Amino acid sequence: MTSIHKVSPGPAVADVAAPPQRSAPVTVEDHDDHRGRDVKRIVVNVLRILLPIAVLVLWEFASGDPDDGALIDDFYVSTPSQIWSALQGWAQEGVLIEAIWSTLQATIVGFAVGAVLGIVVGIVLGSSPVLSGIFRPFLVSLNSIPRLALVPLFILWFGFGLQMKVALVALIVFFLVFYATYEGVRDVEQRLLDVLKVMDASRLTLQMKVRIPSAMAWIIQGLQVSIPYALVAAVTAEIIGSNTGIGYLIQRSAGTFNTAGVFAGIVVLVLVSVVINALVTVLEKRLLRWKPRNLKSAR
Amino acid sequence: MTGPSTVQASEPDVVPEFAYRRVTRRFRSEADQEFVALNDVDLEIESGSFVCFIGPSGCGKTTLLNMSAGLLPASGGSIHFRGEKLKKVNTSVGFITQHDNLLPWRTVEKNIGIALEIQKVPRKERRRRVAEVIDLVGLTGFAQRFPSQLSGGMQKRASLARGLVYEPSTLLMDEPFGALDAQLRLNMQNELLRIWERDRKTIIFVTHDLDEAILLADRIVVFGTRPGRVVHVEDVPLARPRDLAELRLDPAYGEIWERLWKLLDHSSPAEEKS
Repeated sequence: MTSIHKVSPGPAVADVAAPPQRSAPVTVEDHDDHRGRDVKRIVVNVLRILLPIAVLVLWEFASGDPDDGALIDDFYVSTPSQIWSALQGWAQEGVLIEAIWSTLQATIVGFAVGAVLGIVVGIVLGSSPVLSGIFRPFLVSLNSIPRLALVPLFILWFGFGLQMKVALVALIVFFLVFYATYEGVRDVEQRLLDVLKVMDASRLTLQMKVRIPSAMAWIIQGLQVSIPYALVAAVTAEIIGSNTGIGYLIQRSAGTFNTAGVFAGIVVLVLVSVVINALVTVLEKRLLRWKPRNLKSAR
Repeated sequence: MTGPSTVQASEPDVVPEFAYRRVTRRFRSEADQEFVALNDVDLEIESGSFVCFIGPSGCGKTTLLNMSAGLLPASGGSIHFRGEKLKKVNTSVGFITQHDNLLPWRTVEKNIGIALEIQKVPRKERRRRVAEVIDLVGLTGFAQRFPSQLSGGMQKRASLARGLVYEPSTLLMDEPFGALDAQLRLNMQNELLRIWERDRKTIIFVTHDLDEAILLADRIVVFGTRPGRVVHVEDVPLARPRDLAELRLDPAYGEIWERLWKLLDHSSPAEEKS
């Protein structure tokens, strides 16, 4: 008689927002469309491989001694084969692995130090208006100093070794991560906090269960943005004043007019940063599973 | 009709769940102008009753609800909860807001269980109780989804389940079914009535839908605007359990409806925020 009943699961199933894995209905039009897209994708992929090969081949044959009629002077641009043999030379000497390791060490240690400090300071200042009021002006003015100007100071303090590189990397990473964390923690929505307050959540609980997870997307983005900067900072420190690392190899090669060596160093840097970026992407997908964006990219 | 209205508890020695004494709330606008969101509210809410706050937007009904949750202090007057003056956040109530307010990084199950986590309920019992309410609101099979993977209606139901799971004796609900489609809304209303008839929690339910208010409430508090205030309190003596389809044919229903509709109609349109 009276329709007092439980909410049936029927409509629940019907109103799922977006079923993630549902194959598109296949109509004739759709089919043609798919084929068109497939062709495009193949063309794009083939060109992606052909283009660099063409550039390398062109580079190899256009560059050489201008007295022999070469188009470009290889003193300035070297050639792929010379770069390759420079790399091989470093590998045989044993300096290649040593340099990569040295740069990575500075990047990783400096990044870790800067990131941890940035996250901690960001969370503390982000959730305390009083502390933020006191310290923020100092951090802002500190941030406006061109960081590279501090390198001579760091060399004075720490010498030419690892510590100096770590200091520069940490300084650069710190500010990027600090700002991201600070904004993220402040960005948390009051109504989320209110709902938990009514459930008798303590300050610590609010911090752990709402503020920090809510800031996580910002923090991860801050970390992600600062990773390339960390590598740049380490290499820059090596170029300005160090006796190890990829930056040092580049600097040394340039000092002896060894263009192939400079390019070889750059090639190594490109490879290192590509690997780092790939790792970061994998990690980000894992940590931000709940983001709607990942729902789409899952398919 | 106008002016503060007082509702006496049926038995004088029973402490009311909520007692509002000349409650006033003023806000300061961006232009530093003060406006009165709620003026001089005198009201009592009996334990175990189902009360609806109804009124146009800007009448202060949400403001009064937020004040009842202790999230907003009164500018004047006082609010007493079970005889005691409310000074800080009211942790004895379940608070279900207009917005679902789910934590987007937690699955449905973990969102619903958060109050139990705060109360340090052991994991096993937590899982059992969460599974129960998930079933109750018809979200079975969606426990491991994230809120962004649910439709709006399902998010609402998850939010309702989160408010119910720790069994607060009082529920404050701010237009919880506002965004739902008609069928789902009816289901949820019936479900809420069923829970209420079983547990007899005190429920304060904010709505701007007159049909919904009459279907649900023992007592309807009508708010007016400029300034936000209580203009009328109506008892709803309709028999329970109620069914909306049958109720509409009842002459008593029509009478109440017409009387309240006129009151709502005569309130000036609102520009202030509720």
